[in-house]
Amino acid sequence: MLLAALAWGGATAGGEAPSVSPPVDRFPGAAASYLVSVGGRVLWARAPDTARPPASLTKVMTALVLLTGDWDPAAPVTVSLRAARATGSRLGLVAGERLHAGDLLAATLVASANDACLALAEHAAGSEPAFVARMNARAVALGLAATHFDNACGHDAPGQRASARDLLRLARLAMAHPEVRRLAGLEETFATSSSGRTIRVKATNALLGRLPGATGLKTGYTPGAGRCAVATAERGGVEVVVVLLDARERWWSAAGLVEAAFDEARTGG
Amino acid sequence: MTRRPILSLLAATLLAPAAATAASGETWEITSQMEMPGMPFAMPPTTQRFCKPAGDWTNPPAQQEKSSDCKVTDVKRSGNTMRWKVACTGKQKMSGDGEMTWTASAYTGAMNMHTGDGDMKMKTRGRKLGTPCDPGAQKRELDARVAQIQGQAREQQAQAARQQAEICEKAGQDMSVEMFLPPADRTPAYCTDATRKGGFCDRLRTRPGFRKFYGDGQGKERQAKAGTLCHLGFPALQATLCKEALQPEDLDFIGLACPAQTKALVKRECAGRTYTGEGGNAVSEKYRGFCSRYAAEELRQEGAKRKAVDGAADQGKQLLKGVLGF
Repeated sequence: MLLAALAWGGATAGGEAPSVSPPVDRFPGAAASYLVSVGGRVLWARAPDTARPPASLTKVMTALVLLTGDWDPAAPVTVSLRAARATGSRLGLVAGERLHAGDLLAATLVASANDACLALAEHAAGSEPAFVARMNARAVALGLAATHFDNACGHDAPGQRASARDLLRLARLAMAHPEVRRLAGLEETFATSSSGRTIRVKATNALLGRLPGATGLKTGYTPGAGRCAVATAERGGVEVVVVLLDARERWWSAAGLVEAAFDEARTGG
Repeated sequence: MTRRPILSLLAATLLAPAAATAASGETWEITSQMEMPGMPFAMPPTTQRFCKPAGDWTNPPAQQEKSSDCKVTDVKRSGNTMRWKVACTGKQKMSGDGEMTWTASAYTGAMNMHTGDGDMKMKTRGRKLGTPCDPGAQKRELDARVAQIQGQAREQQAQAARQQAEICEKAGQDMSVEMFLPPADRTPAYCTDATRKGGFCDRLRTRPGFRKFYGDGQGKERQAKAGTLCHLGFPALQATLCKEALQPEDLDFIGLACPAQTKALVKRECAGRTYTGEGGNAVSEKYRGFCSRYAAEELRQEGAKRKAVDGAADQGKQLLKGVLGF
């Protein structure tokens, strides 16, 4: 009984035809809220419009706002004391240390480093609240009705929220940007400070290098949000995006849903 | 009604002059009307033009087409009158006799015929229009037209045959067993070529072919049909291929078509393992994709179980945790 119905991959294996609206909750065990999209078409979802804490998936918006502003990757950014004290994932930056904005963006997206993220937000807008205002304005402009930010990097906060559907939209926009796409696919990179210190930046996305066709994008975890991920993959010109919010085992879920989505796409579902 | 072909044949026989030897001819307008005893109504007369060799009637009317099965015999001419006999063999078998009387610009005639459908009489009258014409042109045009139509028909048949061959070749590649089987209405199967049918069966005996066939739909009835077509036991073939798929391990095939082997592999390579290796006991790289697909299937199964057991939302969670160590 435990291992019943083990076959997979065939057109009839799932038994259900995909639905566009409303999407079918075919994998309710995947996450509290999830969404699977192939080529922009939502195949399966659970609570896709429910606003939930997005944790560091927030940084997808952070990157979008940075890159569509007055972005200069070579610009020197001085790390503030507040940024250096950021909690959670971090590079270990020191107050007063200077790095190129491009390196800090890589650390923000690849390693989800909160100190790098906050340093960039302060550099771009003068303060984190000013930067967050830009993020919220962008969310409104994009019509992301379930999205709101209280901070720039994804810490739990009463007003920090996004839905799986909004995050899918953000992910597709972000992956259309060449620099985000490049950084999202890096398993490892390095950041260099003005003092000559080289910092290894290792990807938090466990799918990179493990899941065939994985291209990104972002992971997140906070006690309030649980384990989150936006996983993107491309095979044969077909792009799959999986958004997971509060997944018990996000890597098995993400990898499984990506495989299921490609199977569905291959069999003409 | 079988008389129409005979009427056409007779009309051609009576109206057409003998094979022309003259280079030029003259146009005649001929009106003919068929009478058949017992017919409740009179058949309407028909009028047509034809090109007759210029000059006097030196020969009796004869068949236009060399391929005709009709022969004119016993031709007798007396002044401006000509009599003859005609006999046709083949499908349009008949015998008869004809007579015609002419002047320089007109003629009248009749022909009595005895056919399997009864006796008939065709009366004709003709008048010379005089317009110059080529008496051989009509036949040449007819021959050319017939040749063209026959050529087109041959090409159409060849094209249809090529198209069918292509469709059946693709059906073999796509493992579409339905194309090789007679449909329910007892009409013949679309693809009857033994070579292609054999190709389908040969391919079914391979893992790629079996996988294609199996992946397109796993209905037992369809499998039984394929077994019947190829004279094999489908479950036995599946068992053989699944056994072969273990050495070396063809994980895609096993995952698709081999439940027992999948169960054993999941237990050995997936259960209780982590995706990344954090916390130890990582899934090996070789089985990561296999186990990912299994994870998706388990997540789907969990949904089905949740539906079946309303209010027992955590049941599937516990099951999944037990298998993959979530």
